[in-house]
Amino acid sequence: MTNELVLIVEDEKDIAQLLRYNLQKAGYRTVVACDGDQALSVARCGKPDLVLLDIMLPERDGWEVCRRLRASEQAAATPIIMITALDAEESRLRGLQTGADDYITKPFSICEVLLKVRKLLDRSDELQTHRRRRTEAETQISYLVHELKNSLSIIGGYALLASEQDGTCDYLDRISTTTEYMDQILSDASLLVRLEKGAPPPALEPLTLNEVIEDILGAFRITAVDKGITLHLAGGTGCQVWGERSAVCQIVTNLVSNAIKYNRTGGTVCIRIDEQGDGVDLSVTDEGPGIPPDQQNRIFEKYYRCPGSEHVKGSGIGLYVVKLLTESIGGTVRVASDRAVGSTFTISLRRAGDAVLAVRSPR
Amino acid sequence: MENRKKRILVIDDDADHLFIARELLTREGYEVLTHQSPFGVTGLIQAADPDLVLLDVNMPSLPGDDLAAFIKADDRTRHVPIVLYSSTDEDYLRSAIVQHRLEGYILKGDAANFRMKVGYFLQDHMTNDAAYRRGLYAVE
Repeated sequence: MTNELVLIVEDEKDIAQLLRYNLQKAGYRTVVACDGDQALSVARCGKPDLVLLDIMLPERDGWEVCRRLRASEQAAATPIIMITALDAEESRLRGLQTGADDYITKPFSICEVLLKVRKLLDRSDELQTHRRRRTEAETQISYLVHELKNSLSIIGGYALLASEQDGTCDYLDRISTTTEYMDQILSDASLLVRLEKGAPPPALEPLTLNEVIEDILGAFRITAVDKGITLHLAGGTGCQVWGERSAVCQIVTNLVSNAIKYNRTGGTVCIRIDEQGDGVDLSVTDEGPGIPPDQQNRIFEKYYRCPGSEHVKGSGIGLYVVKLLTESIGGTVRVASDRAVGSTFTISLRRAGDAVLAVRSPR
Repeated sequence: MENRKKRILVIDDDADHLFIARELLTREGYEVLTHQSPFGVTGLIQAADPDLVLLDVNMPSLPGDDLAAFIKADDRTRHVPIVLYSSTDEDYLRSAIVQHRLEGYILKGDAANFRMKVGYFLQDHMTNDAAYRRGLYAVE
């Protein structure tokens, strides 16, 4: 078990020797680097399990080595113990801020060094096991989702072919509708897994909001016509916001899909873009039954569904995803609702100036 | 040339998907060629000169996005529009079409709108700008 590799970064030969001797005696493998550059190249090739890092090094000091190790792919999560002769609080804090996990001050007791090394290695072992299990679970989920979606699309495909051949049997259309619904749930679930993984926030780009929305509305026209619902887009031509395309597409898709699903037959879905100083409000209004005041702050909760909405198929994920995505691009979401009129969901985003068409046209 | 039916080549390692795609598209009046392997595709494209290639992504022997990269790297085949046709995660498809400069993707599982989307990719008047707005092209 204790065959872990410890990288000792220390320019004073005696101290390096002392650490090396005692670590080897305790069963670790060791490698010594006597300056920062050597330490970085050893860390890159040798992949140590832990780094003992002296602060006072020639040329690159320990803080910089620590920063670079943390920024590197190989040593981003490797435990680092700083060794410092300066028994000053400032020096310790700076080490911890740069990403060190612990520190030892000179003169040190060998016993303390060995204990701290063991403790950090055990913890990093646990973390790695945990991380590996989570990755495995995620891979498994995405594999299952893919296979299920593939099979569903075959069922849906045959149902459509059969229904076209013999239009008298509406059971086939029900099969199609159900497979589409299942497909949607699987997409939502895999999106949720990804969002909750805590991925870094997406890079923001300027988006011309009305263009993004027009494209999405195109895909909704058929569903809307089926329910006799009219889709309106008003305001904000050329107005740009800071966002991320796939996040904004998903937000608008979920809101418009809800506004159609919960609308009255023959109703209207109105999408408005309002410029508000530095911000832009994007609102989606339906003519549905409205949301009671005591439910309004709950509808963004995961899996929450309003009492009385049972007749409409849904998994209770859509608005939760809207909230997560809106916040990931630095926006906010709110709802206003009147039982007599309908509901309005409003997304507030940061404005990014107006579209300059010449810049946007690709070759 | 005027009256020539639009010709679509579908590549998938799954026989059911190929059958369904062939049936749906043939009923729509397209000429459909299918091929149940990622291998031999570049030759097929040169021989058949399709107006559109629908390409499955999840093929173990050669993933569709890698195959697309080959097609787009070859002077003899790069002019053919390629649309990924897959159940794979949408983010993955989006980054694949940007990376390999493909024309777009269609998600399997939405059989009802499948033909409409194919028709959309076959439209001659789809300008670069419209394509860009749909996130279908990378901008240099």
